[in-house]
Amino acid sequence: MGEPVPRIRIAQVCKSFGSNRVLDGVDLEIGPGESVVVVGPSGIGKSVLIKCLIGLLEPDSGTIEIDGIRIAGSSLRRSVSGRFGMLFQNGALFDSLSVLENVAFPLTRGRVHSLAAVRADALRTLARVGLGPEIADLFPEDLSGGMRKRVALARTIATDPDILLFDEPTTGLDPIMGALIDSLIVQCVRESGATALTITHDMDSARRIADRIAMLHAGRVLWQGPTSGIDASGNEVVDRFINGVPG
Amino acid sequence: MNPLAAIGRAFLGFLAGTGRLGLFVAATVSHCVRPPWYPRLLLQHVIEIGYYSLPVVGLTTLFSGMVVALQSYTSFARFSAEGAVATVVVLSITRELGPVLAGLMVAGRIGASMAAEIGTMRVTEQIDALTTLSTHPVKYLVVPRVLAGVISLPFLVLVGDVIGVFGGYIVGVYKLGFEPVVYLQRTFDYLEPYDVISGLVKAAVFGFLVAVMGCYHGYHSRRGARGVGAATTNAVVSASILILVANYGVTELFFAR
Repeated sequence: MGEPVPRIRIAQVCKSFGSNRVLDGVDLEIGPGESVVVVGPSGIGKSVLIKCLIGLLEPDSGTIEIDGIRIAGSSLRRSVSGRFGMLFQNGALFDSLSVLENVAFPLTRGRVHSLAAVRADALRTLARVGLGPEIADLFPEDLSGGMRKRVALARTIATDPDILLFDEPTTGLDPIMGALIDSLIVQCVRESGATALTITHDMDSARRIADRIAMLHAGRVLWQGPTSGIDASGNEVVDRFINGVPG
Repeated sequence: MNPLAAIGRAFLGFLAGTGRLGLFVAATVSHCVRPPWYPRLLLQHVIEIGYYSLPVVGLTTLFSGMVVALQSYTSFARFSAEGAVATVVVLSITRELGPVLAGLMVAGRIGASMAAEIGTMRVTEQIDALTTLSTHPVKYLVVPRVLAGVISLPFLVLVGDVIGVFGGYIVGVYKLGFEPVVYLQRTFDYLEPYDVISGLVKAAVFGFLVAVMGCYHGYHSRRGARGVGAATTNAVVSASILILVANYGVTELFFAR
């Protein structure tokens, strides 16, 4: 029997902006149902990595595969795009749409005439993130930061995608709300059995969410291992990062 | 800095911008004819452009018609040709002033708003979110606006034509002392369907230009509030210039002998 095919395989991915080489040969594999968190200081290229994975950016070189199918630079990317759900750093809710329309968007693809048919599904999804129907007709500008993040999470999981991507899920939230969002993410990932990739610089959040942590440094994965092993990584750069010691 | 290098860089930047705009227009046209379509969004934008622009276009054409009547009367009096006032008003409004003024007013009102709205969506990652939700941003954001521009502007211009001619009638009858029946008769005596149709075709072209430039500059807005501000300014300026250039092109097409 051969090796099991990882759900996500990122191999030797490079990405530059002008003369700035942000990703310089990133290698990372994530198995089905696994939750991996990529950590690293701000500006190290974590968001670039996740954008290359979902197709918002094309890598300059390297391979990205989903279930063994190469998608980077391939027309096959479109065929797997429906399998992704992504939570953006600031939610990226559509501010011209109500909460209900935002959550229903992945189900209706923006066609409002089919909104009535999916209303119950959208309300159920809102309930999964602890929000009631009383906010369904509000607009994003009427909500607090934490509620916006929860609505964005509901939109992310509305179609039960089997690959979930979280871009700095706790940014801009107080510690209690951050912990709540993390617990909702863990709950959603476990309930759906999805594969999850999270990027963050918040170590508390990483420890709560991750089965495995990978540290990005100088455009590459410097260290990766189980969450429980990061404190004993034996790597000076990792130790400095997790202890908040400037390098 | 080497001045030749600066000129070369500016020229290359111009070519790159033109190419990017060409690709954007091609993508927009191609998405116009491929499903899915968003009729409800189209209706929203038709109402936004066509209905809510009526007051500003109406006022503009009303006063333009009044001014043309007054100006042509005082000028034509030198040749004892005051009787041509009604004809001059109706031809200048339907052929030129109606479509050009409506186009410029809509460029200021709608082009700026489209650039600001789409630019803000770009800055706040809403356009990226659309892509990750398997919805093409050009199809969802740009196509309904461009189609609405093409549909709404001719309607606005038609209403503006009527109001502009009415403005000329008010000045002609109540200030210059024309007989109402005679004024109306002279308004329609020399008016050909071609005059009105050419104005409506111009309006459709201007609607396309305003919406495309608004969407293009918003879509390619740089990061931050400053980027959105620049996109808004560029949308209005470029649409206004293109309206004046296209006006000559369409006039040449219709009226050159």
